[in-house]
Amino acid sequence: MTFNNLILLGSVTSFLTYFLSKLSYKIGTVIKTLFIIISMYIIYGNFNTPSSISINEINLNFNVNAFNIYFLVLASFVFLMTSLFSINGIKKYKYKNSYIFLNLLLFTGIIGLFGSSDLITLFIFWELITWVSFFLISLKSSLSRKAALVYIFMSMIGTYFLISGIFIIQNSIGGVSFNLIQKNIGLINTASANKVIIFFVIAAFVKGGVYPLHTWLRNAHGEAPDNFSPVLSGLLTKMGLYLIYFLVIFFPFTKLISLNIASFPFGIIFSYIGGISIIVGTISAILQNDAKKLIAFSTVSHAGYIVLAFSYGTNLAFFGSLMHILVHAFTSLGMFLSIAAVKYRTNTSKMDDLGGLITNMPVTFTTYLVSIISLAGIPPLVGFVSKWMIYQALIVNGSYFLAFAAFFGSIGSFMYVFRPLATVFLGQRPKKYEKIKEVPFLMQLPMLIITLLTVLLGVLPGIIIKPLNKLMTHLGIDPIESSLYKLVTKLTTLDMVLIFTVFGLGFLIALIVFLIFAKTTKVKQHEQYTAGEIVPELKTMPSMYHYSKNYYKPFSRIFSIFPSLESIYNRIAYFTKKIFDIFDNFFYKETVNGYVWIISLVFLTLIIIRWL
Amino acid sequence: MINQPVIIILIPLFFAFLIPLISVFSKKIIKIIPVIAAFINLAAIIKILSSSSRILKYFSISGYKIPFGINLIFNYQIGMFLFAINLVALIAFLYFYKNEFNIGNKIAYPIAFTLGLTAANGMILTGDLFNLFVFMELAAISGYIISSHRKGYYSTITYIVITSIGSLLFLLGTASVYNVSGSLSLNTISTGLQGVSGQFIIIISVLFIISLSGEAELIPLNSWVPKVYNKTGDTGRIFFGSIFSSAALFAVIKVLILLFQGSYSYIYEVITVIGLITLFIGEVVAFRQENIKKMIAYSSVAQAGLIIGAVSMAIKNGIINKMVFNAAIFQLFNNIFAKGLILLGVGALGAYHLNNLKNNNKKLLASILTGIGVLSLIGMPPFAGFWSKFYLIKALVLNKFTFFIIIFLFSALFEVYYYMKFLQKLFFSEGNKTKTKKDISFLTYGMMVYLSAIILLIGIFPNSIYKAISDIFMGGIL
Repeated sequence: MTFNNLILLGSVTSFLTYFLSKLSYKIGTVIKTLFIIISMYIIYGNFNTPSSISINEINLNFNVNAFNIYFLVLASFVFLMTSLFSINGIKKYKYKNSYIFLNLLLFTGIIGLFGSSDLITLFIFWELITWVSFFLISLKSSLSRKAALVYIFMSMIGTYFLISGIFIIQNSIGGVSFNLIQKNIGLINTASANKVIIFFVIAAFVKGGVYPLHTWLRNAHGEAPDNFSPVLSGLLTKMGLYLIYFLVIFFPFTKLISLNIASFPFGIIFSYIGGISIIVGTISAILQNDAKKLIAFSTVSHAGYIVLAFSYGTNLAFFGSLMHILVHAFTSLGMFLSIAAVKYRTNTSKMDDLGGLITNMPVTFTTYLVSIISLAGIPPLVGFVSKWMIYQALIVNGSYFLAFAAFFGSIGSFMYVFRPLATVFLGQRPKKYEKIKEVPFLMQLPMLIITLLTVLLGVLPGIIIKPLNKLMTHLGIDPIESSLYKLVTKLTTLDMVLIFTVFGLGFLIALIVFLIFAKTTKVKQHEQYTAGEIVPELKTMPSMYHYSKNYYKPFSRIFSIFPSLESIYNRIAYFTKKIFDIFDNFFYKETVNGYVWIISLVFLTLIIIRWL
Repeated sequence: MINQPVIIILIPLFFAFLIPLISVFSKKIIKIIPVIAAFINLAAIIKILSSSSRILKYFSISGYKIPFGINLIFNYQIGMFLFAINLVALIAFLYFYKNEFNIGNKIAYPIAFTLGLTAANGMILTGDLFNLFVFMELAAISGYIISSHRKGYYSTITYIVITSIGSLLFLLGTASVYNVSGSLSLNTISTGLQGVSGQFIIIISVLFIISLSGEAELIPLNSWVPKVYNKTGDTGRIFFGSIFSSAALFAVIKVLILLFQGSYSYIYEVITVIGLITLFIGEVVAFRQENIKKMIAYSSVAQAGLIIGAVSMAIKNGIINKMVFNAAIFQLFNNIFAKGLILLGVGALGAYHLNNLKNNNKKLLASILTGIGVLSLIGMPPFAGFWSKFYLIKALVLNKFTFFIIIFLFSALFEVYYYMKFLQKLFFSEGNKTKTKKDISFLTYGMMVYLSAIILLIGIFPNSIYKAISDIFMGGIL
């Protein structure tokens, strides 16, 4: 089956699953999962086979080549994991049929987007994904609906910049297919090229959640349905960053990034924006109190890593950014799925109300632990590989601020990811959660797969390095040296199996020591020293004095004086609304003022135009 | 006679005057007469379309040669517009037959609707200035009656005052033009106007622009729009939103192109600015509305501003820029169906106020169909409106009209926002049902499905429709 038929089949199947899920939602989700598995197989089979849907002289062109097969496989994997998870996970949702239908339609849209070989096809699927994901976010609650509105507003800003950039390219080059653009890139003059780069990058930053266009992420990811957040965070943001990689197709890599092109020094600016995004994302995540919003901000900081590494310019950094896409997808999958699993059993994701679930939900705990270790970039997991490459690239070229930003992101990230671990899984369990069981097997399965893959790809990174090398050669960038389990850079060579063995031995020793020698003392969670004062909240609202409440209060005191971009945007929005109210009052209220204003306006226009 | 386009005007006129005659015998048959009129008209249009050409032709009536008699203009593209308008009129009349016949005077409203259809067809077909005045007056009169369908008396009075001002200015303009050029037929006036002083042109352009803006929902004479849309009945809203506004807009475009023939570029610059101001103010005010009927009214105003702005942007020095012009006309064509579907859905669901949309889960199909109309209007794939916006942006970027693009896309952002907010409240609002409208009949569902199917078909085959509608005024005119 060819790729274009896959897209058509996907649309038809999504309608079918809507009607089938009316019988039983499990049928719908199982069909969805099967479809995703089949499509992974078809994507592999269509390597380097262009195909297209041609209706009425509109051509949607698709091609799977070394560049997008990475993204396609990643997209299918993320969807497959969430789909497996949602076979049981959407049991308590209100709009199950719509969720399954929209989810499958979104999957079709995403593989259409990544598989397109033509900018117009890309744009059509981009818009389709925007409105389908809007409805998916809105499914959950009124808070998620407000967040979805902000999401679509900012997303449409990006979309309109994107379409303007696409038409500028079409004007200068005469066509929009990628092959044509690659051949004829010389036809575009510098001014238009700058405009195209800026427009595409704005669209990419809005979708990818890079500072300063990231303010929609917190609420949209935080309030979205739990089974959809991993897809939102792990995949839809990558859709934006995919656009940045396009610029490498169009403008030869060295021309785009190097410091001595006659036009704008884009490379430096984007890498600094990436660095700032890392720092802002990390700090804001530390200050959050809700687990999902915290992970949303970590998406901001990881998008910053990807942009920083991409714009930096060396092939090592480029490889690091590509690998980091995969790392971020895995870690956000792991974290969001474990929090969704906890919510499935306990109906809450407020960190202050939970505790001690490690004995009840060991698989969930392991997934979360492995994901956060990988997120922080600690060997021997896969997160280490990408971060190592990025550090090496930054250190070799001596960029101090950016290296500081990258390190700060890793270290700071451990601060914020540790908090849900400590509050949700460790500590003492409240009485009402004594009898909670682990989630059903179909929900554990994706978590186990992710854990396994995180460890495996960390020990044997060569599995991923080979396809990524092919991708880089396809784009004209020098590949990095690789072998199955060695990471080779200019400064040093790391043997991942050795590192894994060392860490494993260390873990075993610590485990043995703990089991033999450790003694535990039970401490009441709400044991607080009140200096003789009578505090009534200790009995009525004990969660006020839970040890995890205001965990990082001193830290947030440090940053309370910093201006918040979100509040600036909110003030602009409020100001705009007030101005629009003025228009409403002037022109359409039932007073004479409006008519006088309108008539004066028209006469003024006539006079100005005629006599200018 | 059967192949002449004049029959498209005569059929509804005949049935409108039949209604009082039949009302003497039986009041019950009256409710089916508008439906029959629209249906026969649609059949006549299809028959005439099959034998028409794509070049603009002038058809004289009763053998009087141009420019002594009234003449009509017709070609395949205009036939497509007539088809769209009469189709939406048929759907509106079916809705009226099923749901709203018993509201108000049973004789006056069917007459008003049928006469309104006559007037809309006349505004599109006519090629003569004074005839346009007559049809605009007819549209206004039937509009007065339609707008009072649900006791909307204050809004009707506002509408009467404003369109009377417009008609007066139009009459003045027509008289001046006749005085100078000696003819009233649109194709011969421009030759008569050559050599006339520039100030005279300014005066008549002011008169025409302002007067035509009344019916076409442009600034400065459009403050009646939110009031009338708020107070009229559901069928009346479909009429105003889809039929009258599109026909009047088409008439404005016709006058602009055929009367001034592309010279006097300052006229077109003024109209572009007016169009952009209308677009911006329309979207901005709609953004703040809580009343859905008013929200759609302001959105209709903004779309009218967009289309006029784009059309007049396309004309420079006597040359029409084909890409921009055809894209704007395509947008007008799609809007007929999209607005018709949205207004039909809003009326059928009873969705009148954003805070009162309670739990429409039982009427999910109707909500989804209304959603299709909304998604098409804001330009989402795979619906029709996506392609018209796409072609419009493409044409504007290609011709480097930067200022226009900035205002257009800025306003479009807000349009997406408030329509998506509306859809969210339609699909997902929680709360207990307060008073619900009675159930939606199978006939209404059928009509909504039919309109959605048309929108989807245009979305899947946009190029055929685009080619079928393009180049209306080419072929020997400019």
